[in-house]
Amino acid sequence: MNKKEGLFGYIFISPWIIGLLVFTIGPIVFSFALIFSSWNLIGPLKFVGLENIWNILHSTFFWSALRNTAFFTLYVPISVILSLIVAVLMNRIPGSSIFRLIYFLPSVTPAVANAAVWIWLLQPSYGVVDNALKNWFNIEGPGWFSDPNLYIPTLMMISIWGSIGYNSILFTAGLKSIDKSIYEAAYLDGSNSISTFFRITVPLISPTIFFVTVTSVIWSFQVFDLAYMTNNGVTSYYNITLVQYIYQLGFQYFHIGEASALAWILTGIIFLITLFELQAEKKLVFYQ
Amino acid sequence: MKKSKLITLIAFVIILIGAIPMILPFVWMVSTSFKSLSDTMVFPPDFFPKTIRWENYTELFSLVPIKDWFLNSIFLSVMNSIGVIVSSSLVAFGFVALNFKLKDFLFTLLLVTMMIPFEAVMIPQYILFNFFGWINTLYPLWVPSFFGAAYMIFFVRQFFKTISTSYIDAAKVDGANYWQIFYKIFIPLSYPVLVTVGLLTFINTWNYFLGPLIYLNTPSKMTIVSGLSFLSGQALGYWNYIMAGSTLAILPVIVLFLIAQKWIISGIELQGGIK
Repeated sequence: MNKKEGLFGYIFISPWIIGLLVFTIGPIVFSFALIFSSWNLIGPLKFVGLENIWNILHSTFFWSALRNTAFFTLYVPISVILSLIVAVLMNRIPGSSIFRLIYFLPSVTPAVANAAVWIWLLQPSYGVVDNALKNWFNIEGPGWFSDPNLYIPTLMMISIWGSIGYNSILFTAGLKSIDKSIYEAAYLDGSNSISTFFRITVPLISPTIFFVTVTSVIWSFQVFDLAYMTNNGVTSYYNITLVQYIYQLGFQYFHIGEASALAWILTGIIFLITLFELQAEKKLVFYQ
Repeated sequence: MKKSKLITLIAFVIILIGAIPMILPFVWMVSTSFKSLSDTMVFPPDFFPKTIRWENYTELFSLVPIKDWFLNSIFLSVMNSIGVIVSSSLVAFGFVALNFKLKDFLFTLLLVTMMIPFEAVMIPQYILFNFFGWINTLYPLWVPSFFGAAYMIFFVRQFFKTISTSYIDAAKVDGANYWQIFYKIFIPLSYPVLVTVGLLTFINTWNYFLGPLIYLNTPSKMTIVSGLSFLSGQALGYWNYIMAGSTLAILPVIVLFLIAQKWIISGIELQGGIK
């Protein structure tokens, strides 16, 4: 290691260092101070101690947002299972590249546009889904977005639809990396498709299953676009999500302190999930 | 053998049936975008419009500043792609090819910052850009990309690491400086990865909603995605207009994806492979 090389090293990484200080570390330090302050962006900053955190923890909105977001996260295992099935089936069939394209479409289009078309599809009574239910099964369409018990499941359904293509591409890549000779050995030993799937495919791509689950759970805790679009900005206890609550506190009511406190609570939750999943990884994931 | 053909057939049928709900919403989106308002409220709904109504699109251009939205989205997507490609390749090169004292510490720091969710810095960043006088401008949405995106730096670094150090040594013997090693050896060897990084950044920027929603207030400053959200609030019930706007918002990314799907898919596959 010589001096000149060291200097050039810092020069090459300097864009990131500057960005880190200005756009990440600086804001994080400031944000930490904001947790204990009352501020509306314009007036003076006032120290209020733990009041913001106290307010958040005593707000019904926070607990509904947490419950809704955690409930929403349950779409992840469903999507993971379906995506894995799709990837395995696609591996066997002709014309899979065109199907892969079709399944991937909702993952590449903007979530806002996806939300817009689903709101239109699921319109009460004159939407095409409710019409089909009425005509074909004589079922009265439910209030997909207006029924408090159905709102989150509807978002889950849309998210499953939007994530299968992306996740199954990750699984396809995982499947490709499995040594074909393992399958041949299993076939010669008389293993059928189902047991081959559970005894060979699943353990061998468990690292990919793990990766997809972790990243999806983290993303799902940060759900915003879909929630914002589907409740039209009119939030109630039943339909608010955590990031939407941060947005509302910070950018609609300008309760900067409370919004910062909530942002930190969310960050803490995400860190805890990551830690928990890293622990689970040791027990559940099989590395070749 | 017969049994395995049957399984393939069943697999094909399942995938075929599954493909219907995947594509139908988009067919319905485009179909609605060509209907007259009264056609959108017919019982039972017509699958295809009675007459193709192109006016929905031309009227949309006079109703909302959709041309500006398009230009803003293109500008931001291009700038972010350039910014991320330039900054991540420079930084990744520093981490891979050069040795310096704090390298290991700084690289660990990079990995840690990858775990920080955007929400944690969203509010203080807003305050910072407000201080710069950048609210209701496009700056907050592209300038940071020139200072490196942790995830993409990591991504490029994984590829740079596969480039043999013997290239670097040979270049040094030939009297090349670090800058030349960077742009004459590393960049040409890794341009597929850089194209992938650019494409993924382009699509992510195009689809990005929360940032434009926070920073851009006046309609003419919006992006196609934040504008679409604005439009769906303004044109309540006019599903033909909203679907025309949605079609315009998805069209560029779909076209880009069709042209460059190999690059994009291989990029996503690589992301899954990074552990």
